[in-house]
Amino acid sequence: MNKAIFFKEWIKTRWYLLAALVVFVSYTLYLVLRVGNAIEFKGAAHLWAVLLTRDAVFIEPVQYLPMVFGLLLGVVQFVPEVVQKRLKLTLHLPYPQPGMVLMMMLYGLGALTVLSLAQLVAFWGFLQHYMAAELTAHILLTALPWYAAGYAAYLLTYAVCVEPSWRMRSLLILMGIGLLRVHFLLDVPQSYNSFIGSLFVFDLAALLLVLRSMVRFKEGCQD
Amino acid sequence: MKLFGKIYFYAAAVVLLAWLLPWLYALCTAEPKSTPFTLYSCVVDDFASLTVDDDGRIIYFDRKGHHYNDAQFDSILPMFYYRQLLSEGRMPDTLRGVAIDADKIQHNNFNVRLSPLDINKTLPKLYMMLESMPKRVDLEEPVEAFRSTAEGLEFIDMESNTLNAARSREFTDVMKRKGFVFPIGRIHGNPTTMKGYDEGYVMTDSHGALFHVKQISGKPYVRAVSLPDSVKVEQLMITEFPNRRTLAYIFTADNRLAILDADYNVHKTGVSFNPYRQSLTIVGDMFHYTVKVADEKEEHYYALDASTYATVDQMVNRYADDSASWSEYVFPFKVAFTSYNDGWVYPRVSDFSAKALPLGLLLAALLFFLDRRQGKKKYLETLFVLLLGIYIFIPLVLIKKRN
Amino acid sequence: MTDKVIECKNLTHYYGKRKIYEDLSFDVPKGRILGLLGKNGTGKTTTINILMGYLKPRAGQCEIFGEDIQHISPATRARIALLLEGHIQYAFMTIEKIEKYYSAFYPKWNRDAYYELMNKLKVAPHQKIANMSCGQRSQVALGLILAQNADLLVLDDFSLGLDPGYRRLFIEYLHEYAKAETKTIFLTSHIIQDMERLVDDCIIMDYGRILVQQPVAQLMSTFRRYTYRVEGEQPALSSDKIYHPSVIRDCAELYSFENRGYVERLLQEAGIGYSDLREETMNLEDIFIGLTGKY
Repeated sequence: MNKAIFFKEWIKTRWYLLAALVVFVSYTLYLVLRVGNAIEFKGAAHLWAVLLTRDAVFIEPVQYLPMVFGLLLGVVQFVPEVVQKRLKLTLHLPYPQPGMVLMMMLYGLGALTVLSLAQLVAFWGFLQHYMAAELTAHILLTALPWYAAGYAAYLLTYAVCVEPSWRMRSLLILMGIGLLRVHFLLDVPQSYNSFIGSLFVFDLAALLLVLRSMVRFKEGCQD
Repeated sequence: MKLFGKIYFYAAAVVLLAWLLPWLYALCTAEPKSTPFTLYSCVVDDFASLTVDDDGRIIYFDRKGHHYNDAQFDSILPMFYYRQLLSEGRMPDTLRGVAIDADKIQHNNFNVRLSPLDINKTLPKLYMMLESMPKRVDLEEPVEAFRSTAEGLEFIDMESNTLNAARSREFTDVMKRKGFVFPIGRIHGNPTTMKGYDEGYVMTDSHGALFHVKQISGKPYVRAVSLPDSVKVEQLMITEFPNRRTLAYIFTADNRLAILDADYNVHKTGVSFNPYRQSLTIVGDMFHYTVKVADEKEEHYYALDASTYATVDQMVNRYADDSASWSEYVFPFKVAFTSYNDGWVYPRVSDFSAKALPLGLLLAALLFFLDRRQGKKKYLETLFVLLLGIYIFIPLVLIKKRN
Repeated sequence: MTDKVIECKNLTHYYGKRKIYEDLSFDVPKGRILGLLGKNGTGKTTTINILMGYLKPRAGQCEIFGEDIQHISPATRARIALLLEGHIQYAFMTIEKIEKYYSAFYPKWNRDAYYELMNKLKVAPHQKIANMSCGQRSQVALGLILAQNADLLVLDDFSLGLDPGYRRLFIEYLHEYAKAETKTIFLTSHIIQDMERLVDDCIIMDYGRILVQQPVAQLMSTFRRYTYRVEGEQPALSSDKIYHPSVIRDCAELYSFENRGYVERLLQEAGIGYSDLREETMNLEDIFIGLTGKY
């Protein structure tokens, strides 16, 4: 049954995932080439100096990518479920209802994790070749809140989709904008180090909003 | 399940509103805050200030209440306005019995600014090592950086990203011989080529002892500095000013400014300064340092004698107390994720205000009666509104079932 | 007790202040087909939503297979096949993929039943459901329902948007299936045509109330249309035992469960001069119109 659940999510998302893969790979290649070019023309030492003396980490262009990916993944996965209330079919299947909601979520979180991790590993693999571990960590730690925003965006989109009432949906959208903003407050490298753990837990806990909206969907809440 | 979702929803709403509402309030009510620009005058031996009045005119005055015009102001601050005085041919030959000229003034003038943001941020623990005695006049771009381990220094060639074991051993051995106990405690240097000369790094070892480490002709230069008992290093700042009289500033554990001079003597000054919370501005010349220590409450000015570092004079400007602000009556507390004083993001709750309780009570009563009209009595919600005030009242009202 | 598949007591629901119905109680015994008939907007889909646990009623209790409808276990859901209004399915899937998907969830899945029906459709197995005609989609939905081999079929307005041919096909399939395998069916419809071929019991709803709740056979044998001729202005009839009396030129008609004697007495008491009183039984569609009115 779990395989079938993933099968359906795959049918919904495969073209989107393919497109996202292309975008992620292009972004990664672009940034790797950009850094590679800088090393070629100005030398690795110059990059070290920039990292050590300025608030720059070279991979800033990637910062909104996971968030946009998570948001669109939520749309691609759950808009087909709520259009014409198909979720009623899904929740009617002989499978525990919260389990069904969580399995669909697991698929999305899995896709997010695979792409995010792959990109981070690619950056790491490239950078560690030219830079000391401290600098690689400096860059990747700075990027962590951007990837956490991907999870928040995905779960909040899920909750917004499943939520049956427009009033609550609008509030969830406003809340989502606020929560996502928290991931992009400061352009100072490593500024989230002490907070990223709890922020990530808080992002993942947004799944409670999804389950709540699922229950509200079941009760047929109208406002 | 639904309950947890509800708790999450309201918790997130309260945090976001406690963050955004006070921010919006501040945004709408913010007024530009400007304080007079102040320097210590070696001519009138007093603090002289300039400020802009409401009509946009510049007003010059000193602490005793004397007013000046701009030409007079230039001449009571000759070290600062020497170029203006020179161009007008009004520059004296001697001041305070010392012969002066433009080169001498320029050589001794410096200004430095340190804000908490410079210290309260996370940086990679890697330090580029410059050559302090380059073959050419200009400083050369560094090629190596070092890190500190429990065993010693590790030098890395930046271009090839490889460890240089020989250099690591060389520096580590010399430092250990000089009594340095690894790893490094505090360290400061300014590894840029955009400066006149290089003094490498000042650093403490794991026992808090102070050392000066630099590279001269490819060889390690290590000097242990003996600290007076009253000076425990909290933070360090290398100076590298043109006149080479000082090597570094030491910010002590008891929140004082101490000056390490080029002869490795430590002078503990009367300047009280906490580098984590306050900003420091020093405008120095041949005769005096004007030191400004500022935080959100006040500016404390010190005039130090440039040769002895003794406090000549001091003055405190307290900012107008804006405690009459309405926000205290509206917001029971505030949440901020960032601060002007550091480069970190994490939630900080501040400004707890008991004065917001009456509003909380009012809102709680309002909600209680609204609910009672619908035949519901929600004591818990009422209690939350009393405590969290407007932050939870807004989402509760927005969600309330219309009937 | 055990042969009641659906048991609802005192269902009451409102949308805001608008009453859908109050105190609706009904049972569906095993093997029976209950039709919930009513015009659009009388609360048919609301009832299905309540039954399937997608709407919390204002008051009342319902049980299906002895389980509270708010918390039907997955095992019990496997015994209930649900057809949503408009034959909604996962339109992004193909005929093949949707079969593969559903089959994983149902232990008694009958693949042949599905493909037997699909083979009658002139569509390729790789065709997306979204690209099919309404009639073809209804057959896919029907195929999926039949293949589930469920004990209870819940069908929301299945005849909506179907050509007469597909409607007839759907009804015949269902009827044969239900009778051969003693399945229980709860269905709603606002199109009554052909429904007497299928439905055993019916509930006819009007806005805010229940008009009739009885076996179709009984309804068809007891509910009559009376027509008669009148001349000139006549006083209005009023009785809670007659439905929708109307006069068009000199032809008058009314509907009632009462016998001819009652109607004659009623007309005389009202002082109506009538002639040529005729009594007739009707098909279900005419009964529905008689009960609910033409407007």
